Amino acid sequence: MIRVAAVSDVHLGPDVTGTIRPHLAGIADHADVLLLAGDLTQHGTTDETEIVAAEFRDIGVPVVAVLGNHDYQCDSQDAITRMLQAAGITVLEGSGIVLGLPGGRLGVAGTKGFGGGFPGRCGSEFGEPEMKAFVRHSRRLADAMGTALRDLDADFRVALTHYSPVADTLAGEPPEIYPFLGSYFLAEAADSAAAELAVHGHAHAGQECGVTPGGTPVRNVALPVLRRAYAVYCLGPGGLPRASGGAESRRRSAGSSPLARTGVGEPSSGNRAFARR
Amino acid sequence: MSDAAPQAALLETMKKAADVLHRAGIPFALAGGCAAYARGGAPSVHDVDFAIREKDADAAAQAFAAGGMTAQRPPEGWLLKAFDGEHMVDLIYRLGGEPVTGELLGRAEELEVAACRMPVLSATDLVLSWLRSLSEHYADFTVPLSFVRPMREQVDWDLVRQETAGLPFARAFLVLLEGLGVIGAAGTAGGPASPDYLAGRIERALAEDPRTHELGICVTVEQGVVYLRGEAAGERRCQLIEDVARQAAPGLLIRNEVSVIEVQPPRTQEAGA
Repeated sequence: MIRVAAVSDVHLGPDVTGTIRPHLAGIADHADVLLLAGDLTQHGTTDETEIVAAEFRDIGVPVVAVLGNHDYQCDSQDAITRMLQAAGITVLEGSGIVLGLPGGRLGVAGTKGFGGGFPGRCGSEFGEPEMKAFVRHSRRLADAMGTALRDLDADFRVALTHYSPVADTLAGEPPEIYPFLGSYFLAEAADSAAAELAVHGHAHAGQECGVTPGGTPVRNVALPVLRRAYAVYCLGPGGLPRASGGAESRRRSAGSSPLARTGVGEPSSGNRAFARR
Repeated sequence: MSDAAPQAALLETMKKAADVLHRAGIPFALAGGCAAYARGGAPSVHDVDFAIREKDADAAAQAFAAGGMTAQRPPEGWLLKAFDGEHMVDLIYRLGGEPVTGELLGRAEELEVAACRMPVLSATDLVLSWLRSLSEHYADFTVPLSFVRPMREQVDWDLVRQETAGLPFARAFLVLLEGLGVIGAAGTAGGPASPDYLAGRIERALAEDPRTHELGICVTVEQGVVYLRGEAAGERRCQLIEDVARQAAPGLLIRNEVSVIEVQPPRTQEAGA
């Protein structure tokens, strides 16, 4: 079994520092890896990135991150990426990494992702150049992650994004802004590789648990959603199940309880996790 | 006895004083209730006010004396009083505490008042002069309200809000004007109230201002009050959100209900527990 810790949207800066670090002591006892799903900074500056690096460096487990829209605000995403990598944090963008962990080979592919919306209410590459560019950006990022995810030679595959792959985890956000919160392209990419888990952030007012149409469990790990330093999800025997997909799994996910916030050592078993959540 | 006779006499005094200033080449503009009248207000004139620059006060006093009107400087230190028989003219060089400048007089427009053309302070400067005069000792909204109603469409209300953002009595008066429907919410320049546009503008400011970059704050405007709701990562950010919103909606009351996200420890119970 692999224990995946995750959090996002920490929005660190000189005025908000040490939010997570005090809770990371001993994380290796509870998790095998920590995923950061973007918006690590508030304004996307390199000064803030130093704070992020100090917060998450040398915590005893590998740290894998994607950037979020806030991390792009100052057009310093490349510098931010280099700084985080210098601190030992893997930053993914249309790329993947395989970690050899005690419980098996964990493959993580990631992208910031982008908006566009969800089937029935989504944008398309039509009309004005700005609209085409918007949707094309979203599609290209998702396609790159899909390719990286499928190429992973791993026992378990996790799709790590900032924007949401599904609408399930946006419940609580105003429906009008769903197209700015995620894109089904990301779910399609995760499903194309039959990923065991999709982790995202961005939707502060959303909810934690959802599932892709193909049955991949989706977790929104935005700090304002979790309200704790990180959540842990278990993959493998006794861990998160891949739903069978389709309407049945979506229905199960919709009626589930907060217990599916799989705490350390509280692995969900079978479909029960979804039934309870 | 009807009011018409004293009104007419006051307007005669106004014309006479304007003539004195004009002949002496002293820059001036009509202010106060007469200016409100010139801009469409009711002819309920109780005094005659002119704005002049302080450096012209002595020349003005001499010109009035030469014109047969006595002039004196009362101890207030911001005006000169001239007497035309029993009628008094105030020659004000600090208007609502602000010095009368060439720029202020330059913004005045030539209007016809009681069949006589003379410079009249701009509607925005007039409103500012009244709002800046409000204080604990003079918080009567009735008179400025009667002045403002007929000229509301001539006033740059966004500028008035900006200029009076730090004046509680002025802000209270603006809230009253909104409540009475005399003016719209900030950003609507006296047009139909559209709090939605204002809320949109504040939300954009919160997202785009480099001090905040906050996307998740819900902004609503109700009865001239801006409500900010949501969560931020720290105390200072809650304050910055309020600062940016205040700047985007000058003069409006802000209710900041943004709270700080409390981060709990992760769950650490062991397997099988």
